[in-house]
Amino acid sequence: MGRPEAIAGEFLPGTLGLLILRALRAGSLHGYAISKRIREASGQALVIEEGSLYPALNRLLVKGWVVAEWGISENNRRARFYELTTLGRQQLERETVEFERLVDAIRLVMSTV
Amino acid sequence: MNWISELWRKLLFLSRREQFDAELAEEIELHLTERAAELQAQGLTPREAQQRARREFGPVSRAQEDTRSMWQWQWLEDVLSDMRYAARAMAKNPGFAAAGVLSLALGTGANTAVFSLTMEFLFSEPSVREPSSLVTMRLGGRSHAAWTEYEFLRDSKLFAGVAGIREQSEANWRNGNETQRLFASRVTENYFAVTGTGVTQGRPFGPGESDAVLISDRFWQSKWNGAGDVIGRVMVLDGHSARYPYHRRRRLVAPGDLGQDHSAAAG
Repeated sequence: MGRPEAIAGEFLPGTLGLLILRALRAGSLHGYAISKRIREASGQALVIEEGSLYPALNRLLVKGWVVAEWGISENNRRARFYELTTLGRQQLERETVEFERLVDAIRLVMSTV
Repeated sequence: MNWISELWRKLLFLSRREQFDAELAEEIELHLTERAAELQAQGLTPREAQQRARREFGPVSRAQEDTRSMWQWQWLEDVLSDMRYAARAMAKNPGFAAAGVLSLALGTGANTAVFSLTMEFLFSEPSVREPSSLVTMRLGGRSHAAWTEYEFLRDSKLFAGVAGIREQSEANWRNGNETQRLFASRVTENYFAVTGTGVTQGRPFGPGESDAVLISDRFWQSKWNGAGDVIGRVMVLDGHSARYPYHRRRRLVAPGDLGQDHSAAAG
């Protein structure tokens, strides 16, 4: 409905966390901005189900990879901004390497077998 | 130690749950508003934009539930809520609760009792050497036999061995300045040789040891506090001193005169 080109929320398991960490790499964002950033960066292909965005964000909070703080959004509204911690940056690097290995491996299989 | 700080964050969460819920609701509300504004900019009416934003988001309460669950130990919460429910239900209906508790207690008790008896009668080792070759004799159908009859039977060599026991007799035990009445059985000197009944400490008494006594485990524990040096102590029973207190599990055996009446065990 309305977004036929989107890959509906079912990414590879664990990639949502990686995408969120990546989206926060350049600076802190609030929840909606994170999903918007991912949607736009993927050319509208990756649409995060909002129902899974907040659980994923809170998992990152529990892990200590991001911290949250209330601030004022660009539209002058109170919003909760998420920011990467040092641990979060390390985790992003680790997961990026692993993700690239996985994608390379899948691509290899798809092109040879 | 990552898991420690993770645990700490989860514990902190418990103290600010209400705040958490309110903040999450505000966050989701903002999310919906921003999305609606964006859709509106794409040309939808405010009403349409709002409806579509909500539809895209999906059920808010489920998102809140899922988000909260990231901070919780779900199984622990489930157990606690089950227990609260059970406590409420029982407080509401104490009669039913009492019946439940009572039937559980009786059931457990009866089970334990049956199990103990079964273990004792079906699975415990017999305390005699060769149960299949042992018989109890009642001479002429009487429960007791005269000493002369016992002697006659013993000396007839019809059996490999004949031993006598006089059960349920009593003995007065002089313990310092006190005298206590004990329930004792008197046996012939060859009783242990014939039956092969074992003892847990010391040794069974044999021929010629007419002044020996065997005490039960319970007697050992209750009267002598399980002292390690009971073997060799002297017990004064009915005014006679008996040395060599031996001790085994159940029976108290104090040899002495068997008197005129006794029943006989033969093997």
